[in-house]
Amino acid sequence: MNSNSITVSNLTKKFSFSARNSSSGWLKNLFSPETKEIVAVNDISFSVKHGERIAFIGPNGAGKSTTIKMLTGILFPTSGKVNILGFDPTKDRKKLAYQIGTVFGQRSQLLPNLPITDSLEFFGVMYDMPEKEIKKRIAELVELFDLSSFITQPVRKLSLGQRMRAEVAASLIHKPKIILLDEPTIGLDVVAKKSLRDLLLKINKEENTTIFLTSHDVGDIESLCDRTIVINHGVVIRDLPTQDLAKTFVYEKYIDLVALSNFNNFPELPEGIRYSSKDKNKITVVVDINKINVQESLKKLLDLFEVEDIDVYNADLETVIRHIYERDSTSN
Amino acid sequence: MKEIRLATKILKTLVKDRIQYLDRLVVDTIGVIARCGILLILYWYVFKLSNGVINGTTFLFAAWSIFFYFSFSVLRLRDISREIMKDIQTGNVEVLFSKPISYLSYRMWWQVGSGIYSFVVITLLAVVALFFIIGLPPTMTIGIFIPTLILTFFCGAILSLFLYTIVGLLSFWIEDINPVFWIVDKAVMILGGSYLPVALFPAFMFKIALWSPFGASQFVTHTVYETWQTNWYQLVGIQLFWIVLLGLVVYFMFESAKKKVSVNGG
Amino acid sequence: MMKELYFALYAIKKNIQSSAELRTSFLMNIVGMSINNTAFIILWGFFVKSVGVIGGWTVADIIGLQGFVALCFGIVFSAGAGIRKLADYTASGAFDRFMLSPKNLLVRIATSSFGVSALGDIVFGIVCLSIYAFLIHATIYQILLIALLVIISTIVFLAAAIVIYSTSFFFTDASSVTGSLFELFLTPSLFHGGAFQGAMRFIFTFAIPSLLIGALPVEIVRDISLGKLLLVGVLAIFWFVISINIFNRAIKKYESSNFMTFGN
Repeated sequence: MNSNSITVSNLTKKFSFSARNSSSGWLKNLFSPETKEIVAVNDISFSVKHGERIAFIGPNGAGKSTTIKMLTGILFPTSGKVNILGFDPTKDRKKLAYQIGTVFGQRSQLLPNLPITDSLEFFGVMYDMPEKEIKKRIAELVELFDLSSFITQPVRKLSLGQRMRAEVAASLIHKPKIILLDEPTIGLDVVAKKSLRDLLLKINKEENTTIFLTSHDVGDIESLCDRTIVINHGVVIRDLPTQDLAKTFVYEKYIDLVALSNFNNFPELPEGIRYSSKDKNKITVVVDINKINVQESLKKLLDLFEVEDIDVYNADLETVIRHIYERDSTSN
Repeated sequence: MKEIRLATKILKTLVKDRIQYLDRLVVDTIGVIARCGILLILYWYVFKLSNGVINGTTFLFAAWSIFFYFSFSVLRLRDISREIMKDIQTGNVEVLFSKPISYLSYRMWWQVGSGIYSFVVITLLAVVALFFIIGLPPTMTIGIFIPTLILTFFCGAILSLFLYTIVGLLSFWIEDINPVFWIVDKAVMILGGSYLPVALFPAFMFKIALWSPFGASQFVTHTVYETWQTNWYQLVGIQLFWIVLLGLVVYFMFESAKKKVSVNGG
Repeated sequence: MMKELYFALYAIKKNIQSSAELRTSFLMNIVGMSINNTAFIILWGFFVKSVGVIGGWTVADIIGLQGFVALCFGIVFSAGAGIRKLADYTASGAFDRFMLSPKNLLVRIATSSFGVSALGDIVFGIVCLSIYAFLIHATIYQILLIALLVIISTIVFLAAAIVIYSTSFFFTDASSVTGSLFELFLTPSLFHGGAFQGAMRFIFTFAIPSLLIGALPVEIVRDISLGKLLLVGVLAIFWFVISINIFNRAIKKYESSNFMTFGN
């Protein structure tokens, strides 16, 4: 039994569209337009095991949604293969649909005027579940997601946090083996975000649901996903455990210097140290410890500046990810 | 089996929704009164001026014929074009494609479900009101009236759904389908016997109304006339012909649309 | 006041620029609209053919009627298409950003969107009125009357639109309610004017101003009736004042809601 829930091999997607050539006349553009081709996804490969929690991230336009569409069978690849739960999405989209759940942060799938239970029943029927099983499952989900306090209210009257809980519950009505989430925490407050993340972890633990998440929220990635795949310009540029991701720029150390009175001068820094930000109250520098170690740099910095407080830390995940995006585009 | 279960569920859920929120019912009622109601009053006056008979028909027949058109339109099957267009523009079509359902039948049942409550309530009330205000033409009391009415109603509903679905599916290729929608919708309006009942059509226009799918979708308006008793099977035959033809068009268009989505995105 | 006007024109220009980019759609819309409106002429034209002349109304008058209504519809809903979107704005809470704008609220909302399809109505309206003027062998006097009545009917139309769409603030599912109320106003205005007599004529002149935007102007031009002209003019001012009043009251009732787009 294949322990992979998703296997993607050499997946490529090219889009061709007719582009207007501004230098030729409009008649020519109408009848024989130039076709341009863009490569949205370029030969990517990865596999996901059952029960894994994956973050699938990349800057806008990187090819994320294109890849996800190919996973669900909405878009057909130009070349390469996708195998999800043993299905080929291009052939067995409907069968696959029974095994997948989807949550879109910005688009609701619930019926707005009726209480959640109506939506849950509705989806239950859509997924061909027998009546008894639907009722049982709804009771499970209500308990698991703590929906009972607002279960009788029409969906349109719920707060965003409550709605997202309901959305995720609805996506799980048919006990899918994989759940795909697109920006699920967008717009939620800090408490609601944590609550949603905890729920997803619980589901993953109790039902071994594979979680495939795209998000721009670093907190989602850090707390929810043990593995991160970074895609940019249609190519997978990182595929590693999330905690290793944070260590990618481990050779960079950040040092904050808080002024004793005011920083008036910003002299040139020794080799290996550069300014990240500076104003009269606080300076942040980045130290490349391949070139100069922490001890040396602290000595030199304390010679240059009078400080009241000092803080030494690694780049946070957000900065790391940003660097990955930025540095990848410049190398292209 | 699953189709039927899902269809029933869609209808049940939507009717429940509409019962909860009567806004839609109020809106539809005002709509019928504004259009059909005012129109009937105007025609009553017009027929009176013409000594009760125009083109061989009386107010009674014309009124019921016009009413059937507007009652049918309460179902708002035409809105399926806009719903499909919205689905495509918002990307919702992809969400629905990822569900284990047939998109088109889902959309069609949804459209029926949205309108059925208003349709039943308004039609019942209006029939009672009309019965007491203007009475019933003798053609509506004969035995075959009800069954053939029901038959032609269902055929007309299916035909309307197909017609407007074709318009909606054009959104996969054209950015703004509104102009096409208006043309189709107006053709249905003219040839269906709405503001001008079919009995008052000039001969050539009647022919077009008879043979075109636009007119055929509204054949319920033909059921009140005396000619219906002898002609009904011919008209239902025409409806069936168009249902098959347009059904094929819908099928092929949708297959083509799915291919397009799968190759070039939405 | 001049600033308001200047800004309104600027907003309209910007909207045109952004819609004109969909050039094929633009043309298609105009053609589509014209065909759309022609349907009513066909219908009522055949009506006159079957039924005969009622209330003095001939096929020419039908064309004139459609011309007036299409033209005032086109003028109001091209430059001021935002009024129709009032229901959506209030439901989605997008209305807030208009409230924060330093410009006159009503003008800002009205010019927030440009209705490309309504341009088709303007073209159609002008063509119809020209044909009408030709068919009745209009004198200079009558042509001037037409021009004046276009202005008056546009004012009435604008006022009616404001009143109707202002009700968006009072309902949850506002867009269907307002659309429906608008039907109640617009549909009778497209009906054969001669068929309106007695109580019907009274209601649709004084209670719902449908006859003011098409049927009465046609009769005024045809009969050169100054009495009716005065009546229509007075009512136009009356409706305009009422509409501003109702709009301001509606604003006070405004509440914003937390809303997520719903797909079905």
